[in-house]
Amino acid sequence: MKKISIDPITRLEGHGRIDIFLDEEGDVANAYLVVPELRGFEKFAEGRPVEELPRITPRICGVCPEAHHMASAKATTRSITSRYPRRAKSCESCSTLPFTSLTTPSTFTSSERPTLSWGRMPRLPSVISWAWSTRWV
Amino acid sequence: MAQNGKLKLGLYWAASCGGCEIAIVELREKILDLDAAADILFWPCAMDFKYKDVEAMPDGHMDVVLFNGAIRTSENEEMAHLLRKKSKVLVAFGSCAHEGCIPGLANLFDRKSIFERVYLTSQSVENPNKYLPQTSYQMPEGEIDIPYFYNTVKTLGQVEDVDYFVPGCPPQAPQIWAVVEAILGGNLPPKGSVVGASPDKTVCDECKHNREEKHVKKFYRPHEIIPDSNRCLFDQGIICAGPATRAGCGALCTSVDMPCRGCYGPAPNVLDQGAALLSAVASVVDADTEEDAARIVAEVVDPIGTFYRFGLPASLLHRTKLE
Repeated sequence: MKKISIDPITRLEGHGRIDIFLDEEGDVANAYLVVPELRGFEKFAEGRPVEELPRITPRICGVCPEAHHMASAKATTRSITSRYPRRAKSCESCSTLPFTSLTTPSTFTSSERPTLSWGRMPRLPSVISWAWSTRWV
Repeated sequence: MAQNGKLKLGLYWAASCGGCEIAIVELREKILDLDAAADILFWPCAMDFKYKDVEAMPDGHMDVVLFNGAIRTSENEEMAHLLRKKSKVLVAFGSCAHEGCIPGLANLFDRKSIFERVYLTSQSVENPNKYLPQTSYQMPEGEIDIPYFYNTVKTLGQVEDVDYFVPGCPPQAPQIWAVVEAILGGNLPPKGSVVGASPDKTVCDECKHNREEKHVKKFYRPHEIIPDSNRCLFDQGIICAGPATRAGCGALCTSVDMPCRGCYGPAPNVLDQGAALLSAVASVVDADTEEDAARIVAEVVDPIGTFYRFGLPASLLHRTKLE
């Protein structure tokens, strides 16, 4: 069976390869996505002080470090206390990644007519909770 | 140089996070100057080139290859050898290639325990048949192989001959631009030098906090203290890697009262960053008795993960003992 390898897949964060097998007629018999990478954050995060994890986990992905930073900051906070300052909560709500980094350029600076799409905006409840909480900051 | 006078540039990532490629994009409008001065021949993160394209190049075809990421798998190592062959100047770009960085903390464990945690005991994994990665799979249509996952993370310099080292997690954009300018102008220092960082200063020299005589009676974790923004964090009992770390970042972390963790690597003329930091910590402990000293030192949680946060594979320790 003939094999075509797309190696590596490009223009995304992370390593990958696609192996495509062709049958006698040249049709695709099957295709496999191969991920030839692992670093093992799950293991080496063990033994690190919990408050240091917001500076370790962003290295999972340097393209979207904010997501990993916020996730570990939230987990760390909740592992220590369930009551924390409103200011900290409002910081949490300002999840900047989807709004400022990844979609704003295409939302507001399109070469064509600027369009606003709710699909691209942060979810309404998070906007409301953020706006509400910042009144007290 | 190519016939059009442009530099032939390649960029690759091994065991990395992609933050170094984002750091290059952080050049912002200067990326246009980079594009004007260089032809990019290989950059999987941003452009569509395949490994076959690199293999087809004549040896030494690329003028400069910026290689980020540590050597974690056999594929990483093969790519390091391939890119060395195809490039005139190979640069270890960023902390992972320079000294191992955060993925290098895996050297506290071995292959087996990492696999067990990731594929068997992790709370978010369902793997009833207990499959672990193998280097070769026999599927109905044919064979599929994946690289071998080594026991030990290595730096680029430990598997290949490296011309220059650019430290930082990630390297800061002005420093990257300085390196690009040095390459374009042919003003590179001797082979083996660290470029894109201060040749003779530590982070303390760039830090705005005021240093005094250090007498530490207690080490604090971040949630136990609200630091004074004017005083040296180390003076206040917060462990800061500034004294053992090369300057170049502009003391970014300490400028927001977060202690340095040492991503710019060992200070100039320091062989082992962790040992230098350990010695700095030991020298500030203000104890009258041995019990006092033992109590204060015991307040340092996770010493190896703190002192060697970014540099374990490149350090004298390299890794924990393998059984």
